[in-house]
Amino acid sequence: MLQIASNVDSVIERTRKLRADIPAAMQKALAPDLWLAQARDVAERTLLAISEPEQRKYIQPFVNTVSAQLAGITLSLKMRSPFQASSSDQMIEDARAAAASLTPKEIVETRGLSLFMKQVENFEAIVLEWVQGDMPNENTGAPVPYPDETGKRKDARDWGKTDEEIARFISHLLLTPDPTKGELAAREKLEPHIAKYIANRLSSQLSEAIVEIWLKGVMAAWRAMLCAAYPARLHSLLKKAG
Amino acid sequence: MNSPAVNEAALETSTFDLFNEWLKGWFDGNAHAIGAGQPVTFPAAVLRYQQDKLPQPLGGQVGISLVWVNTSKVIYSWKMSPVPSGNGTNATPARQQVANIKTTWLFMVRSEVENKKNCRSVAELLFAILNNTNAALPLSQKGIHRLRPMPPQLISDGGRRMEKPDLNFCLRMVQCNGVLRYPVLSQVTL
Repeated sequence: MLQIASNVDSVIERTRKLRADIPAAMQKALAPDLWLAQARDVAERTLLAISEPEQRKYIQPFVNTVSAQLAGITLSLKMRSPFQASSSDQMIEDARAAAASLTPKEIVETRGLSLFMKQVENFEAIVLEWVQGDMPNENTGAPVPYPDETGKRKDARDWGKTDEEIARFISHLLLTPDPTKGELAAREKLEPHIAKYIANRLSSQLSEAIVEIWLKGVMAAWRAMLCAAYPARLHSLLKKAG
Repeated sequence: MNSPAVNEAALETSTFDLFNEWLKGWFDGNAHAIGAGQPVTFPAAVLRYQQDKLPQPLGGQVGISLVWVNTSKVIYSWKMSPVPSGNGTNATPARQQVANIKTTWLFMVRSEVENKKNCRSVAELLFAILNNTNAALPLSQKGIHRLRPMPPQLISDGGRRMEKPDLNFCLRMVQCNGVLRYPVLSQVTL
């Protein structure tokens, strides 16, 4: 006797399960938290390999900009140059917007770890650098890109104050979301100097050509990392799902 | 090769030592035959691993920096066949637990812009020897198996000196997947 049996039902059942399991596993395998640490590690290793010894001090600021975001089933890993992405005016605008979002409620809710806080702190650090900066030696006659903007020209108003106090006050003037008439007038006078200082600072960092190579190198390394690690992660999750 | 085989007590060190010895044998400025092919001149190269700095300037040489990008989970299996022991000699056939780790490495090949021809040549030859089973046999005998390189990728060719004066180097990348296989020391001959 010849008996023909069909296993199509079990095949359909398995397919149905896989159709549910695969998207869920794909989503899970792309979880940004899983990738962020590895992406940072790979970026750092790659930059250490391709940078010259005197450029190594710039690696950490680059690695700090690495972010991972998931939109649908697309994972985006991003790294940008911390030096040239925005113009000096843009940097001030960004810090001002961050300061406006940094309400006391936000600080309490995030226990001081708000992302806006970091941006404001970075800006305040630049202002402090400017306050501490040395004035160019006017007697050398050497050409300086921004002669008046390599450091603050201190005057009578600054006497008796520490650099930190001066910087804090200037940051407040520049960033406060509700400036008074007097503060606004002071801001208008100060802002061009700070903007030129930031521009000067940015121009002395890595060149655009080097930045481009760093970004290309890290992108290539990430592609290698994802091609190797993503299938393995997906396979492991599907295996767990049974 | 004299370096110890890949072993769990010094996974990264033993792997880099093996690559170091193997690559030094090829990129020594002399001619070598890849597999059954005709001898080809291999430019001399400086080898560096992970965060080690390449000398500046490279002085006409080409730099190869090996970066370890990814490792899989350890996959265990049991084998009856002899596997290389820690000191590189073959152990007697026994039941032995073996660990397998899938890995990805990047070989960043760098040279000064005046030497860009050698940069390309080193990247191409590196791809060729990694891809050649015969050439890579000494590595597989020490626990580095299944080397699967991707063709060299150009990151920078140095550009035009007048337009980008600080871009005075060429950079190419060879990605290579492989499997590290070593006996689990705690599980010998059960």
